[in-house]
Amino acid sequence: MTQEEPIVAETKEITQEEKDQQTVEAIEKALQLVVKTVQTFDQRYIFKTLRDLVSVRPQLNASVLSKLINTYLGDAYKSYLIEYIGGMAEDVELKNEVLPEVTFAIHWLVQLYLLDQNELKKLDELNTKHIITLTKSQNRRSLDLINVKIWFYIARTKELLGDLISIRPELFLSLRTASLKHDNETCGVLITLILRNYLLLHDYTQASNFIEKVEFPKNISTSLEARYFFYLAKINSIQLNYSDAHEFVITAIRKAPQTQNAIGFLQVSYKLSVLIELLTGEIPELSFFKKPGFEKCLVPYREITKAVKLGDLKLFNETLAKYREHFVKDDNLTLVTRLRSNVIKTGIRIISLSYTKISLKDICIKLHLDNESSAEYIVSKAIRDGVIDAKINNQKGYVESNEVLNVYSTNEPQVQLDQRIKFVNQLHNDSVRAMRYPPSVNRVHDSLGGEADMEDEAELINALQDEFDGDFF
Amino acid sequence: MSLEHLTHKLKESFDSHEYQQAVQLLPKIQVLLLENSLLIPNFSKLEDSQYLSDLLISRSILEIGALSAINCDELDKFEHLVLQLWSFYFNQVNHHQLSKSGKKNKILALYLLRLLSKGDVVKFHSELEFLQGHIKNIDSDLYLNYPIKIENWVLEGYYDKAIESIKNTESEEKLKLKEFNVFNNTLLETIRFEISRSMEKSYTSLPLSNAKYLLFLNSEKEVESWAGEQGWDVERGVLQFEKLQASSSLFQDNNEEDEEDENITPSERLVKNTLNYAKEIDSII
Repeated sequence: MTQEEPIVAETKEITQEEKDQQTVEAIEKALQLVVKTVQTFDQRYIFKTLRDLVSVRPQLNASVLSKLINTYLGDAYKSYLIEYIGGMAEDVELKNEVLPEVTFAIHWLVQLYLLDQNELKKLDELNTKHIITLTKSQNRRSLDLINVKIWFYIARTKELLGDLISIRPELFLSLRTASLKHDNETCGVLITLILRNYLLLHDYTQASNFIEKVEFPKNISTSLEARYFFYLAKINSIQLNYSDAHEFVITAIRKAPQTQNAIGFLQVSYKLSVLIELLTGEIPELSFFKKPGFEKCLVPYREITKAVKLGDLKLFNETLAKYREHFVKDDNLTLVTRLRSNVIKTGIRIISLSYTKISLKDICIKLHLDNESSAEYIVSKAIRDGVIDAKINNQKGYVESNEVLNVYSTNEPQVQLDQRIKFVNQLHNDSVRAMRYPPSVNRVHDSLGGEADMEDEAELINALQDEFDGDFF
Repeated sequence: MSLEHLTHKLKESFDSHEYQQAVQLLPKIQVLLLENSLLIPNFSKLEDSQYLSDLLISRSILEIGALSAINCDELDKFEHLVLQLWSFYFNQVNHHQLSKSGKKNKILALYLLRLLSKGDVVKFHSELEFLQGHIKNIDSDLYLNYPIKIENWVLEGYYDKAIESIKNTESEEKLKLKEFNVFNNTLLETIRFEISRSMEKSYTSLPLSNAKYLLFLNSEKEVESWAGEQGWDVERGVLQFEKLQASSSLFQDNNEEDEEDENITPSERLVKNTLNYAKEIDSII
């Protein structure tokens, strides 16, 4: 066994070198596209670059990075980057004139590498010492998208280190600079990062104050918008504003890319959406819990929904106790506990549907309540909230349901139809608005260009759909 | 007068339950604290043990001030002081000594109760969510559990339990923190108001004697005067809600229509909607 080992290592080394070479080539190819962006002012090429760079992420290692740094970066950056990744500095002749975009992209790759190596302390030091100053040094629109990535990882590092507050002033400062520069992408990412920062510390008051003051930029990546809407939904749900929260969470789900990378985000959004729907008094359909890839993580929520649907307080309490850890982990426990009153309400509704007249005592027994006066108060609150249409007879101690009107003799069906048509129209208009078109210069070019351009275009579209990071939650 | 002297006096009047006097002393002390940059903690100087112990003293001054303000029924002042204490309890450095205080949970519980009695449920929930993230086992905390419990009961409609717990001045948490009782009356009033709104909707008629129990009032006289405030009809010792319900449902219908379109007939609305759809479809094509 011991004799075999060196041989294995050796063969590995050769492939490793080859692999490194391939990786470097892949990265260089991706960086070429950056040059194209600068020439055409078409932001989409950067999207493509970033996606290509993400795909080489698992192959990143010190030697690949030091090679890149040595070929592309001048001494000012070289000295410290090499030190952080622990590579070797070589004096290679520099390529003439390196674009700042390339410099930034390489910094971002170093961030990724250190994060994957779990060198959080080192990464944090690099971030605070060098990268933050670097992001401030340039003012080029073509840098915006790379800046977004860099900021995301700066904040992510802090988060993993559990040091959330010290980054705040820096985030606010950069937000101000970014909005002055009309750098919408960076603005967007900073706003979402600040919100995330607040929410991780459960500081909902501050978060909602912040939202009131800040205006979320338009025309930015949909993934950022999705995040923003998700945070809005979360804040509104905590503040008992369920109808708005529901709208926001639906928008967030719709805006999130439907790819494998975004599955974490979708899972969390679905969980929130179930709870909000339940809190507004609606019951999600069973098929909702059977989506492939989500079935497992939604189990606790399915169980809770079951309890609410049946109006069974006992079952609800059991489920809550059983999955408590889950809900705490998802940060949804408060919302789940608020469902208790909905359970009682459905219980009352079921009773009022099946009986025209029932004594308070029987309600007590059916809902597992402690005494009749509790039952009386609860039923009367349900009547007030419009859960049931009934009257209580206090002297004789019973509840009598009012006769159900024929719904079809009222305006109600028409109102419902109207609502749905409006919803569909809204959806259509939103989708039209969300479409992206290349700048007109390119369009002319495209129609004249050959097949290569067409392929390019198709890949770009793929890139747009895909851009999303794995480390969402 | 020096700061030490004033602090000493404040403590003395607090201990002897002269809350009014304590509250009067407070502004002077706050000014002095501000001059010594002790009112808002400076986190970069925490290494300095002298500064830290001064901060701890200034925190306890504010705590005493908050409790005195409650006892004098100066609730806005209390809220203000809690906000000042906030930066001591929850801050970026998370300093162990600074954020840990024997009175912390008491004061926070009172603050929550204050929000509840004000009827500010939105703020109550945001702050609660914040506290749950910062204090472990909030549900089992003797003091903090009280406002949470009350809020839950009111939300779910267990008014009798909420009332029972508010009225019971002998419970464990209240014996330890008598300031909870300051809010009793306002809370009862809030709950009574809630019950009245439910009663209007759920009974056609109700004898005064029964209403007395439902509203947990002491005599039928009180019920009558309460009924007067709510604008209820009393006929031969029985509360009548039918008229109220009839008028309120009418009122509601009018209201809805007012909000949507200025009082148009259903057929007109149908035409209006259909025209709208046509416009939308037109824009799609």
